[in-house]
Amino acid sequence: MRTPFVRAALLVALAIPVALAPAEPSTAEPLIAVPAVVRPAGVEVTLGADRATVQVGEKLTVRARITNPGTGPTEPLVAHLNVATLDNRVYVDLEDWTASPTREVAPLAPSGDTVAEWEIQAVNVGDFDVYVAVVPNGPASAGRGPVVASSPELVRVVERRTLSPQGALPVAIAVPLLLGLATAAVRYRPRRLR
Amino acid sequence: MTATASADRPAPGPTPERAPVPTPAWRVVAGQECRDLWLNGRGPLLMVGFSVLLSVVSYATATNLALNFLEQREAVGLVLQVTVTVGVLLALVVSADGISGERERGTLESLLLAPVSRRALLSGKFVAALSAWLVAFVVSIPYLWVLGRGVSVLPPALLLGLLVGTLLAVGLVAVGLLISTLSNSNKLSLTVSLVVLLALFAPTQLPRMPQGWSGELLRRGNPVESGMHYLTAVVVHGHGWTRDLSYLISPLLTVLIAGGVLVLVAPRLVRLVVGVSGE
Repeated sequence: MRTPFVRAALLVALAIPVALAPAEPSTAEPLIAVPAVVRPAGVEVTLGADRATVQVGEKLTVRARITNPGTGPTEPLVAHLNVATLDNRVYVDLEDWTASPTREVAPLAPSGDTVAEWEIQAVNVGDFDVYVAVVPNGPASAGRGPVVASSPELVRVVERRTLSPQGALPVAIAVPLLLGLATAAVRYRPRRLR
Repeated sequence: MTATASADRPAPGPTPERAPVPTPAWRVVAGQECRDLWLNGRGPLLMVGFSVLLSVVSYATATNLALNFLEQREAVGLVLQVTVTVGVLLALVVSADGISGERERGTLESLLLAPVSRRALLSGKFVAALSAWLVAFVVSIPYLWVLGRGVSVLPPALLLGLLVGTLLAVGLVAVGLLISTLSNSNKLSLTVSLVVLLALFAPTQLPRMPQGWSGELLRRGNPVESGMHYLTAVVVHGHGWTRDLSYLISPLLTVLIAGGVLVLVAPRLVRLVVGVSGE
């Protein structure tokens, strides 16, 4: 009989500090001092499309608009395109999709924006989320973030066949065979013909 | 090559009153070298190996699901690049054996005693080595046809492959013969030639060259890479013939420089070296 009562008391005791905690983030000084750098926290990244369907091997262009809605200029930025598979059986090697996933972005003036483009080639079949992450690249802020990511563009890559193996197989067999026979004939021809 | 070639031997003519036109010495040497390469040598075996390689690449391109997304243009471009690269490699291997091989086998002395100028000797060996590339290109035609049939890219691809491949082969065969002339052993000549080819070919396989003027200079300064770039631009990306023509400057310069040195300087370097013999 006493056990449920004890459990309820414990739950109430644990819940009290949570309930008393302020709903808004504390304005008190953080325990770890953060250097005063201009951060691109206000930068916004939006992609030109939210979904696309392509055939495997097809190329598509991903456009990201990077906007600075703030009142001060941003630092130099780096925009990085990434491809995330939505099926963990499909391995994504970003280098196969694009040889240069990273773009340097010059500092953006207040209310300024710029467009970064990537031409990517869909090399795997399946569903993928393509998104762009922007990080600061200033002298003091490089490596500190924050990372601002766009909403993903869903890229559906469907299979297709462009080349028929029917013609390739006979040629792949016949040419070495004929050359081999010709080589044997030349090599082992009668001595009087040499 | 055996030392039986005689440039001055008059060809038997049907009419005794007409003076027979002597065959140019370089053609005599070239004929003998080609016979040595294709009838008695390793030329046919090299081509069998080359055709097996092309068979694997073509069949994989046409059947493998991981590669099958390639457009026909890209498939033709891929096989064309393999053809040019390996064909030029075969020509380079043959040319690297040219003089150093004779030195090593101890046949250079008797060859130098033949009534053939050293320039003609080098020219004949040059033509024989170049024939390796031309035969390799002929071997690749069925593969290119089977991958590119039905699309208009095939005829220009064949023509461009022949043009760019011949340009690269001429330049690199000249380089190979120069290396062979300067080498006392076949092993050294082959090694240096292959290292040169590898150094020229490796940048084409790198994922990304540095951008900017230095990257462009590296790209355009490398005859193999700029030749491949031109091939890809026209065959795969559908650029016009003239749009990327400037990429052929470095292959052309290689031909002019290496060919010039081969014609003007190399004949003086074809000589016996004390202590080097096939004995």
